[in-house]
Amino acid sequence: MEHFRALVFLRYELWFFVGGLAIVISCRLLNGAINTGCLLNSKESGGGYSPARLQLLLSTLGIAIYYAYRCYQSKRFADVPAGLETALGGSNAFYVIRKFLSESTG
Amino acid sequence: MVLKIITAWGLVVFVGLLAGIILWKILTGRIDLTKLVSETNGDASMSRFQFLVFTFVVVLMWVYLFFYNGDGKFPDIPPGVLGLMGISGGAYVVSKGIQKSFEGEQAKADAKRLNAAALGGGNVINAGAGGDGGANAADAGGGTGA
Repeated sequence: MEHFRALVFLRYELWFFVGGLAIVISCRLLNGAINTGCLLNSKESGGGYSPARLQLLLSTLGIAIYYAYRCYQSKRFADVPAGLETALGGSNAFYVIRKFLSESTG
Repeated sequence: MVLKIITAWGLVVFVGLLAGIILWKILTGRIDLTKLVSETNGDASMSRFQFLVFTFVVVLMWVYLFFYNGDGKFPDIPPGVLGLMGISGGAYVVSKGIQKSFEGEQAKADAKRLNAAALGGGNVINAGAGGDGGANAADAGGGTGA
């Protein structure tokens, strides 16, 4: 029985650590302590705004929030719909191809 | 039985200390997270940011479900989740590979220009692709970085 009490403590420690890390990193992302400068900027010589990066950011946040919500609703790790994997793969492919083209031109 | 209890509590103390030390060092700045999602040139990387987001979503869900189930069993992670992480990680690796290969070529081109300028007797003005004149001619260490 005693080691079950230890398991309870371990769970709370895990929650404290992971939750604390998530909170610290989220706060630092929001207040700029973690650098997110030029996150949406193109690496081309002009350095302007990049639509490829914006679509990747939006698809990342959208998919992450949707999947987290589904897991929270079903109280287990939800199955990932095939369309979601395709959407993420396509988004990443578009970003990588755009990056390759911009790097190769200069 | 006693060994089990000692091992369990020893693990609790160890994990607790480790977690506390790491969080404390992050909060006091000894573990610097400023460049957590940055590339070597200091600009933020979309691939790293995406990897960070998905990692945290999966880990937080795992911890939440581990707590919620309450039976001490680890939640099953479906292959689809691993697929999402794989896509994110794969895109990061490919993106990094592209960046490194073009940085390498740019460094070689800069070194060639520098050598040509040195052999040419000090005239470092050039109109070559990717360079912006004297500043870059003196720096053969890396790409344009923009």
